[in-house]
Amino acid sequence: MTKKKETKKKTIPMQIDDVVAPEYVVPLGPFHPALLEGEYFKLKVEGEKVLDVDLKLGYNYRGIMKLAEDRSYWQNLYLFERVCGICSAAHTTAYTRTVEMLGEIELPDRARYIRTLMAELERIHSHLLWAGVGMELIGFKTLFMLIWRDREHVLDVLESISGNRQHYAMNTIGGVRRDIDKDMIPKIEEKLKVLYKATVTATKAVLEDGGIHARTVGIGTLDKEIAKKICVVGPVARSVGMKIDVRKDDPYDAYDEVPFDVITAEDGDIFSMALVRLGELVESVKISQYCLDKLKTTSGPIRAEVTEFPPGEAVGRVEAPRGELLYYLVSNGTNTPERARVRTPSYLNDYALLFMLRGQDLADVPITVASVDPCMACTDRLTTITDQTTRTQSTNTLREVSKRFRMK
Amino acid sequence: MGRMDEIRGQLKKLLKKDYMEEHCDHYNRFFIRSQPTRIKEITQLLVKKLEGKLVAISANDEGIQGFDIVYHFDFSHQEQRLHISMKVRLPRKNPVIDSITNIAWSANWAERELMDLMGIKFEGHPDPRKLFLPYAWPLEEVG
Repeated sequence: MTKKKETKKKTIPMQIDDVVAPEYVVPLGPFHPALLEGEYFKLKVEGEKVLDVDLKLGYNYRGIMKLAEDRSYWQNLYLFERVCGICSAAHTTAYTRTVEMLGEIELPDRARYIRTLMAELERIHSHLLWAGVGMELIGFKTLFMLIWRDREHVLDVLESISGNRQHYAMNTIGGVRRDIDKDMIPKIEEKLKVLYKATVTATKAVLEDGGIHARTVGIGTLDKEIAKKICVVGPVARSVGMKIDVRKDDPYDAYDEVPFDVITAEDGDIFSMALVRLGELVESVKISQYCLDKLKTTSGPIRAEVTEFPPGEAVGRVEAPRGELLYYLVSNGTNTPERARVRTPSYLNDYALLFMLRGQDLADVPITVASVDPCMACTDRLTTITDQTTRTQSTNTLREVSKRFRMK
Repeated sequence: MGRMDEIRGQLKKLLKKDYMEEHCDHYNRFFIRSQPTRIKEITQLLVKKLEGKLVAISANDEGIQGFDIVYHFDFSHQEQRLHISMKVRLPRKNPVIDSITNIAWSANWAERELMDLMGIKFEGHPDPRKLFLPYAWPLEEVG
């Protein structure tokens, strides 16, 4: 009743008392144009300022870890490849490494170099994707187009090696599935030169453009103390000056012999995260070149023979493009793992968002969310479909999907 | 092996008879078993004093024997490859353990996930809501 009376008042609009409406909750998501994947942010705002944030996950929860328990070690290769489309090589590398640790399997030299090459090419593609998305979110569409044009080169390389732009299916337990031909190497080298140039151009643009500075410097700053407490990983950790990198701390594949630098920045804002990722692009091109040089001279098999998986447990870690990826497998001696645990990098980095968003302007929320490169496909880990009338659960077969979507 | 000897010494001093080393592999990974009641002290020592990082918590369903909770502590920034997994076993009937979120903030989501998926209760968790499941689960329809 009181509200009705107020609207009927015929006086000039007056200032609204701050005590009446000091705070407001703005929902962002689960499906929103500013977010690329399903996640639900509840933002408590006062005016334009974000006071507090709450995050709900699980809009695409697939239960990968449970599914892994009823598949054999060989079948799991295909399952873990599909945890995430962007870092499929990282997931299979982590999985195969963990299984190899269980069986204490040594990789042949050639396999090590091919794995490292694939991992670095994937990192280039992921970081370029991130840079493009970031530019689009702050409204710099030109650079977004240019970066994504250059990203096509690395996707071409990945396609020429594996036959796919995503889901390369290169890794297998004990090595890799495909070899890289000698005639292919000069072609890849050419593309790497193009990529190097593109990185330099993009870095120059980011360093010099005033618009990018205005939207990123001092925005979404992560405090170093908090970063240490919540154990952020990957480029986010390196942007606050923590010199951690699994490739150095826990070398796998060929990383113990490849020379490369760990790029760090100090400020922890979006600008330093961009600098770290752009710096890593240059390093990745160098590592790829090193692996190609080695591939020219090494010969031999590309996979070791694997016959059994002894009982035990192992923790395998890999530096995915987004940070440390941890796999924990428990084996009981049969051909299926007893327990598989996947701890993805976004799982820790998304948590940092809750701290980064506090005190931001509402307009900076999309770029801040994108700055940690959140991967919901990773965080929520095969979708099952429930028939509403019969209550039976099913998964789509390939035939059904192609029947439904194939152009006739 | 220098760093691990130091950590092992401090852990043995703290836990005494509750310390049991299961095994270590040649990748510098250590698996140690202890009692669930000691988990707060262990985290205090490993995270606060020795500056390790709690990177993940996982749970193994061991059937009639109960649940194994595995706390993964990462020390690879201090010594190459060093990683310690602390295991504690909870009974199947009433799986309750103290929450360590107030000591190690990174345990927050990991504990909430285990509450969702394995039904383990973490006593004293500051924010014990569902993480992946809907808030009103199982009353709310899924899908």
